[in-house]
Amino acid sequence: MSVELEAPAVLAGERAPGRRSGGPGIVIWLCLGWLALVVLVAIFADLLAPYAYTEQSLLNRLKPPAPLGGDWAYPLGTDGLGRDVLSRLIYATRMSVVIALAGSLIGATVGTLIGFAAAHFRGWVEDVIMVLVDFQASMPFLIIVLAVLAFLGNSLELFLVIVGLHGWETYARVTRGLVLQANGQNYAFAIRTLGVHPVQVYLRHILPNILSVLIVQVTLNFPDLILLETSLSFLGLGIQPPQTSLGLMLGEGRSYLATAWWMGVPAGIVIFLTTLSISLAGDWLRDRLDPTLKTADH
Amino acid sequence: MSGGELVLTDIVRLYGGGWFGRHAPVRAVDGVSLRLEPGKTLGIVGESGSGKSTLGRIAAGIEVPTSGRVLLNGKPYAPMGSAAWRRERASIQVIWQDPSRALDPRMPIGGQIEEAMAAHRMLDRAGRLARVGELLELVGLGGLGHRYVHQLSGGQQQRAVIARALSLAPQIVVCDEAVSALDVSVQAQIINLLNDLKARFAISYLFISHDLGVVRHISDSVAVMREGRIVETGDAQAVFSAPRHPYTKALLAAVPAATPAERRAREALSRMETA
Amino acid sequence: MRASFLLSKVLRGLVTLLLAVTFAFLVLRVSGDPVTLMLPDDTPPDIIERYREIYGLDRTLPEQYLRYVGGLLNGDFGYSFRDGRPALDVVLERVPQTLVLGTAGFLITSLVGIGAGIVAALKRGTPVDLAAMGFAVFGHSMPNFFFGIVMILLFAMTWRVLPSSGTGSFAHLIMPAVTLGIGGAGSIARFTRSSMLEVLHQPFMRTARAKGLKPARRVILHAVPNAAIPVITVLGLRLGGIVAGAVVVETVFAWPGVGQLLVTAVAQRDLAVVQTIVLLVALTMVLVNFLVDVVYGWLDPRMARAGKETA
Repeated sequence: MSVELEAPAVLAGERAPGRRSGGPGIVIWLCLGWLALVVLVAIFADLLAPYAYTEQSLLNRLKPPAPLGGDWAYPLGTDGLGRDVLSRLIYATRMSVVIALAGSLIGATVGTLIGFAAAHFRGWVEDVIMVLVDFQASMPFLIIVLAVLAFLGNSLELFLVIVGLHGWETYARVTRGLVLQANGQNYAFAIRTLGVHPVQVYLRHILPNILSVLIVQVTLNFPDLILLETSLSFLGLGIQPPQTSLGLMLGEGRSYLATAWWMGVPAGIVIFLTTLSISLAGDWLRDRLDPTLKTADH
Repeated sequence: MSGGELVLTDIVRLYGGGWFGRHAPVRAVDGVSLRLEPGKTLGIVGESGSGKSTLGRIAAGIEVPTSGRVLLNGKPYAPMGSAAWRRERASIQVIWQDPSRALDPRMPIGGQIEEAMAAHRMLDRAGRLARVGELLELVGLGGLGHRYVHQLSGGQQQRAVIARALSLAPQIVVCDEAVSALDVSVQAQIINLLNDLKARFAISYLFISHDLGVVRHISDSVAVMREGRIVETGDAQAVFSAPRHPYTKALLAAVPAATPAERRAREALSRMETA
Repeated sequence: MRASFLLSKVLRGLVTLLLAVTFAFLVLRVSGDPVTLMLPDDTPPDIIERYREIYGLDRTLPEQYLRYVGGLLNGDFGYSFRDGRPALDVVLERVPQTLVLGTAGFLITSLVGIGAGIVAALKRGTPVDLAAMGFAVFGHSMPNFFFGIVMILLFAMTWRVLPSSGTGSFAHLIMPAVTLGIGGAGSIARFTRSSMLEVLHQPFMRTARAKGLKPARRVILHAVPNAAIPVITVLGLRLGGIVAGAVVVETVFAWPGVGQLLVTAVAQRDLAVVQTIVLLVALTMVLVNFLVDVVYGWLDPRMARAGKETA
């Protein structure tokens, strides 16, 4: 759960509370820069990585990063099987980013549709949906994911869908609230009395008006998605070898902590910087879109 | 074409009743029968809570009565929300009290008028756009189709709503407190506009308001409503100049009671009537 | 406090529990033959047949469901694959360790979070505020497993001041508890700060100042209690984060609690144990949520009288 209220403004470069500068402060620029870098790396992984992420070279195993006595052929060193850490880092970034992005779309779409359904049909449909939303909100999602993975096994597709569903209940709840608001004695109703088809009303009139809220919700949910996927991969229950992910790298690096800390730490740094950047940039974006917006997701 | 005819028979609308009938339901409309003649304006007056707005929605077919029948040109309404119901909407439209809440704040008003026509597959896009221009001229908003709701005054917003309703060429228009939220001077303008349109297009109006002066101005006949029931109906001039029912008389004495004694006298009158 | 308010909360809790049980039941069924899944591998076939009968797998689904629930109520949660012991025992014996860690982590979250939030609110706009909020964002974005690993790297391996894993002494508890608590502390700090700021600007605070009360008294006696009310609900909701966090933290620090058990059980597909833990977590969450609702209702009488919530 994340509850951000006044805090972000302080960090987003405001000089004094209450006075808002026109553009993003230096901190936000840094965040956006980092995110751009991450996205570029994810897209151009094949071009950027000096080696394939599975390429092993047992002769060169456990080499430290170049600045610390290693070889510039392996700028960040190698792991226990002689694989280049930098290359693996690049591909792992791509994997984690793709999963988080695809997952966001899944969760947002599913959750929003359910929210629409609850608000449109009312009656027992709405009641059942809200009970499920309540249930989901009261259980830590990680536990539910673990249970599903235990019972149903771990294929990449299933993993993606299940991770993506994180936060669906927030989307559902928010969408339902907004649609109910719009549906009440308001223009949505007036437009329906013109004889316009309800789906048309949702698409042309209601959806655009709630889109800004949904976008904010996505930025709030995104860091949690990254953390969820990397946590699961770290525990060995997420992305499986030979695939790689940032969490998996950290997990693999754990056993070599004393001897080759450079195996896992860079991945951890990437995770941290990415979630941090999204959190800060998302807060700033939220402030820009609608400063009066309360994103309390209880 | 001479405007539409609306016949309401024994309309009852109940709300609430609680779980397992724990408390008595609210009888918003309690057995109302009315006839709106083609090309005429029927005014419905009453205080707030009299049920007149509910009656208006039922008459327009956008709310389903608990019991009773509504016939539009001799035919009952299709089930609410069905495709047939959507098609029917072109025959009967509603003008709302708060125009700013009847229009989408994110679309220019011209687009919203066009959308109404598009929903009924009227003309083609070019034809619709031309018609939008004509309608805007007609209601006095010539050339303002690109504006958004917040860029219009209250009176202009209501004109936009009227233009949108008009675009479907309805036979009946229900005006639910259509001018109550506007300035007095603007009210007169809108009333005049409505009268013009009625003459030009032969529309029947159901005009709902708590404001007697306004109703008097526009109605051919009038029905006085109180607590869900009609207490008096008749030709507008007749009812206003020679009211028969004590409640109508009390309503007409619209000036707030000048003295406590007068107020007590009025209250005694209404208690007598209910007993 | 209104009885109807309490009743609706109890009902809500029961429904959640029921859903959790149904969820476990459904997932168990979907994954294959539950009997063979829940019994150790080397169970002789006739025992399997008997269990099939007992579990009523030849019956209709609703009947199976009822038997399943009945079994749960009798304490029958199946058997762990690893050693054939009842799953319930395997799980329960790990609970104390997790309780210790969870409580320590929660204390850190509350104390550090609330403290930082109050200080930040009082020193709004100053570097102290900036630092506190920076720390808050840091805590929220930092993956707990990475933080734990860095801590181990620094404190256990490089500087050798703390043990890297296991239990046994207070020193063993420090790093895991800090790792567990720090993430939540960030959110709590931000929320507390906002809540305090809202309260500090209320008219009654100005009255207190006009009365001549010293700043410290004003803050402690008037501001904090009022700001506390929303913070307490948020704290209660943090429990889910503690539970999820414990899973990871216990694995990082080899802390022998329920979280570590869950991870190994999932890896080995020891379904009886997984199911037991899920239900245990559900029960805990329901109880805590109920407690939070009651406390909040008691603290804020207006909430209780409102009864049914809207939206």
